[in-house]
Amino acid sequence: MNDKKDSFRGITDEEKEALLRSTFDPLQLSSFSEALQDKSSAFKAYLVIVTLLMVFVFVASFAGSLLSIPSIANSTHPADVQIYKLRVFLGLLLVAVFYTQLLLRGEVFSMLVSYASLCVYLLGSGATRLLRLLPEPGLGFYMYVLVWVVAIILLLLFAREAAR
Amino acid sequence: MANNKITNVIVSDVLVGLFAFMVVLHTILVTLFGDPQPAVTDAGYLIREMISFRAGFTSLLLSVYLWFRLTNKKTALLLKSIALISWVSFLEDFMLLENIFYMPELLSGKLVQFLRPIYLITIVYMVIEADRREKIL
Repeated sequence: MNDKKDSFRGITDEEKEALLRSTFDPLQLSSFSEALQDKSSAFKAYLVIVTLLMVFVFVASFAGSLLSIPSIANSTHPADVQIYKLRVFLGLLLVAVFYTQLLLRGEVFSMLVSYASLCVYLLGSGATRLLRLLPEPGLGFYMYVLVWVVAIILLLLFAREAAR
Repeated sequence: MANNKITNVIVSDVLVGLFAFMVVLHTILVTLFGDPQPAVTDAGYLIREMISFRAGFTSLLLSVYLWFRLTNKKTALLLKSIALISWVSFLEDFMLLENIFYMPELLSGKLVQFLRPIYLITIVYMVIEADRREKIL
């Protein structure tokens, strides 16, 4: 019988030391597979969809694609284009913060709900501006609203999945 | 210690309420009496168009917060959303929209401009405090 063995818990002194040494570091990023191992398949699917959409937005905004910034922003006014660029930049920053939180294995539910509410603000302010700018709301306006509504619904579904 | 926390929360609520009130008041004054400073830049026109929407959105969110407080519901999630929107709109103003509220001719504009950084810091404090309180509960 090992005399170093804890009579109540059945662990040795070496094991105790090893347990104490391997303290959890809250700032240690985990790998994607570790971060997603306890998540549902729906969560992973939403993550892929949101990531692909964000990649599409950034490629369309920065890579000089067929969709020029004024056509995405629905306006040729310099202030509208600038505010669109700033919002894309902030979006990129928020996505990076989300991924960091995910890899830190932190809680992402409230973050996703906050992002959804921010999208409501962006939708509202953008739609208000377009209603003033356009002579009458056409296909561009409805597409703008539709894209934001889809993004909001997607984020809320993602948040619901994250809470499970 | 607990009393200090309660006092801090009350002071924060008052500051946030005061800011929201000033935003709405300033927007009403500008709408009623016209803008004393005509917009000279493209960003200036954008500001004038967005100011009413922002005032409406701010007051809507803070009314929901007030209702949550009165009915003793959890506020951390709502405060996080309000804080995120407030900081994003502040960055938009600061970097592009030439300080949306600043109008030297109107005292309400000056007050809103003065209260804004205090509000932004206060709302972050409220998020941290509400999050901490709800984790304990």
